[in-house]
Amino acid sequence: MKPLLEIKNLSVFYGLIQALKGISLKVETGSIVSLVGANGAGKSTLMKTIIGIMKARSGEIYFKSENILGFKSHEIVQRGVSQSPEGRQIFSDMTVYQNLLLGAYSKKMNPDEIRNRMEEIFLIFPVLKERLLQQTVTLSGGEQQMLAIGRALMIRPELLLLDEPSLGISPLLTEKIFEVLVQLKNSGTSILLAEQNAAMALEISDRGYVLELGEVIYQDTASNLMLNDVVRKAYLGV
Amino acid sequence: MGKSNWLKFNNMDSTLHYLLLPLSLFGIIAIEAMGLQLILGGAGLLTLGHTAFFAIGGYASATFVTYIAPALGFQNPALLLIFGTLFAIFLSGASSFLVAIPCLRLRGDYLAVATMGFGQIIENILYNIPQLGGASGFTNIPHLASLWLIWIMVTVTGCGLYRFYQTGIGQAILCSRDDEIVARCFGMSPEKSKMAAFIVGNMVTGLAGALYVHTFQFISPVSAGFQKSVEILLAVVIGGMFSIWGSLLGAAILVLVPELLRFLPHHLSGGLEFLVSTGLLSSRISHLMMDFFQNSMLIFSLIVLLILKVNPAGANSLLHSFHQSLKRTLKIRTRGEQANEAAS
Amino acid sequence: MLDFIQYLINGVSVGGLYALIAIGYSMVFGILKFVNFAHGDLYMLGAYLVMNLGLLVLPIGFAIPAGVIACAIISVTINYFIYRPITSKNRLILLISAVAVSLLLENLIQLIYTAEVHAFPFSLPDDVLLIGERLIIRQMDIWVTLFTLLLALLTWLFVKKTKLGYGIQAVASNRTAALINGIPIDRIVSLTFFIGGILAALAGTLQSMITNQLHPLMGVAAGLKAFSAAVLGGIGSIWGAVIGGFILGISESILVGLGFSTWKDSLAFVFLIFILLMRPQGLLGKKQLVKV
Repeated sequence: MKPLLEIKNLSVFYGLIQALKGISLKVETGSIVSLVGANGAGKSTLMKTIIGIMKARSGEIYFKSENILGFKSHEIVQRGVSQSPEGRQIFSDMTVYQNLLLGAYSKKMNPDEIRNRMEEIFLIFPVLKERLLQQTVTLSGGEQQMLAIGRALMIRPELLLLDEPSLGISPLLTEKIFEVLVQLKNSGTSILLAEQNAAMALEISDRGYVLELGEVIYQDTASNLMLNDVVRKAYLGV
Repeated sequence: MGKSNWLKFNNMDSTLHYLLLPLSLFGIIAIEAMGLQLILGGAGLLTLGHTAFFAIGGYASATFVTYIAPALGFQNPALLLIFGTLFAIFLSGASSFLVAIPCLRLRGDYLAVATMGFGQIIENILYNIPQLGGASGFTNIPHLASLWLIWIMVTVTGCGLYRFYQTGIGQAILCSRDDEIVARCFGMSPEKSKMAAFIVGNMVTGLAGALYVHTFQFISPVSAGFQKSVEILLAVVIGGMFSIWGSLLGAAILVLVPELLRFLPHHLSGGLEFLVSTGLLSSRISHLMMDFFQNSMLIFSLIVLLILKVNPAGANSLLHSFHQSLKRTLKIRTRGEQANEAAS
Repeated sequence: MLDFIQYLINGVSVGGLYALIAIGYSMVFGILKFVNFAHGDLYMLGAYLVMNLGLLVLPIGFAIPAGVIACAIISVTINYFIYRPITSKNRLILLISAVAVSLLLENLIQLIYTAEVHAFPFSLPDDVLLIGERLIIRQMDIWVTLFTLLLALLTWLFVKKTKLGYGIQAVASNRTAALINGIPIDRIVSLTFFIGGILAALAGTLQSMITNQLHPLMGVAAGLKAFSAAVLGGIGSIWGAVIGGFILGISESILVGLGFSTWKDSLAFVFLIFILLMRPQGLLGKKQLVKV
């Protein structure tokens, strides 16, 4: 079966600096793939390029066998890709409700469908229902992260991209969020997860890619990676 | 006095005489443009009230020569010119300091509108001072400058600004333009740099104003107006806002193009009439085309838009591609670029 | 006291027109964080387009909507072809190009219609109402004020209640987040320029109907004043623009009533400097939103 997401030889430049040097990776349908690596390795760059915020110089990105490289962001989102971005990017002068509503922008949903979908998301993140009409600036970091994910889930994406969800969040909360990710995988959502916290990420993943200075230096099943000595020393703190 | 006589001796050729005024204006506008270049291209500040300081300089020198100097009792033309000009530079520097205090902390768009507003206010004030001539302008200003003097000042100013860019302050100005955060890391204060660029740039412009009134013997509040500010802005952008040569080129375009356009209709009208007579072109469109070529502002604004699309560094930069080594000696670069070039 | 009310009455309709233009400035600033220097000239352009259609002996019911929409389309086109390619690059270049566009419009109109003042083919009812033996209201002022308030309300409702309006709010709030949520940014920006163009064109048309004349530079003063009004009320806020517009209009009227009519045109600028120094976010603006 063809992978849901396949990236071939992707190169991205920041001006004269090459941030991604010919990256290739795959995400199979119904799996969780982790992207681990140090700060500046290129994880966020890759995430931004997939969703269309950054432009690639060369390479291909196939989503459901269609090359989406060069597509505008809204065209990519319409096809079923969603992201919880680096820094969460909440609409900070709006309420939780309005943020979730905007999450559904790219799909034609009538008010009932929107309501139902929100209810489904409240089952996953009950705290969002509690804070529904509050301004998002009053939310804690963890709650904002849950909002970012919840918002990304509004369109029932086939592929969910998460850029550093554990950043600035307590380990306990991170565990909860990662449990949610496993739940999502089990209900059919494929996930690409960029994480500095390699241990936790690989634990829930099927496959992993280790990024260093814009290149993939290791790729294997998650379990193999966790057993790999070099990876353990460098990224798992063992 | 001696210089003017010398020129009279040399004005045997009527063409030379005809060129005298445009060439003088060219030099004066070149100085004004160099002042704006420091502010716009050097510091990256868009100001839309630049000619107000030109006018302040001009009125200042005229006032000095007409009212103050006689009261102080001296008549020597050279002294009049020197002190008048110094007074002009002082006043335009001081007034730009006052304007800078509220305005320079504003971000780009607001700064532009605020300076435009100040320009209007200064124009308004000038209209309302009868001693300075009011709406009809300041007349009977003695002719103290000469073409040679103007062009000497152009050279002095050009070289002076070039050296200025190489000083600590000059480098701070350029760095702050490109990246305020990095500039701060190097101990530079972007606020002080911008203030310095603004004041120095306007003092240079005040000098231009002084030279203007002593050449054309007249100045009116229109010189402070928005229209004029925009003209000089466009000229600097077209010529090349990132280099001193660009200001020269821009001034040339601003002064010479309307002159050229004056000759154009003669040549153009023949061709257009022909087209109209054969029915290929309606006479209304033909008139439109004739008027189009008379409207230099329209042409300038189109050229600016084109330049900003193609190469924001302006016409000068385009020429630079052809005359690299010659331009290199007179173009501004940061020390970093110089070091890079030395290393490679 | 009664005089003061008269000044109020005199200034309200002008304030309404400032408000319409100011809304356009605010909305474009909200989504692009950029002051469109050429916006005031759309006020002038709209009036000229309507005039032209009117001179072609089109009835008012057709000339005005057609002219206004044409102006809005030009506004969108200017953004699409001139501003859009530059927005990501240098801010300075964007500002300069806005100045150039402004000049281009003014001189183009001067080219086609000459720099003189033109007569406007449509006008508003001239009747005057007398209230309580001392106060005078022109009927047209009532209509214009009501109309501008209605337009402001419609614009506000559009932005707050419709899906596209939500899109505008989203882009103004956080551009990256909007991108990520699949909001088509280019379309939203075009829509904003369209709305701004409509409002400015209507304001220009109304002004020309009140004074029965128009000229190519009428947008310069109006634009600067409307910008001041937008900043006064809080740039980025629709009701801020409205309030700022009315405050400015009424203040100008008071100034004229007190005998300082020669300073009327500088008042907007004084307000601008004052508000930028004292409270940069404007009356209705939120503190963190604007880096001034």
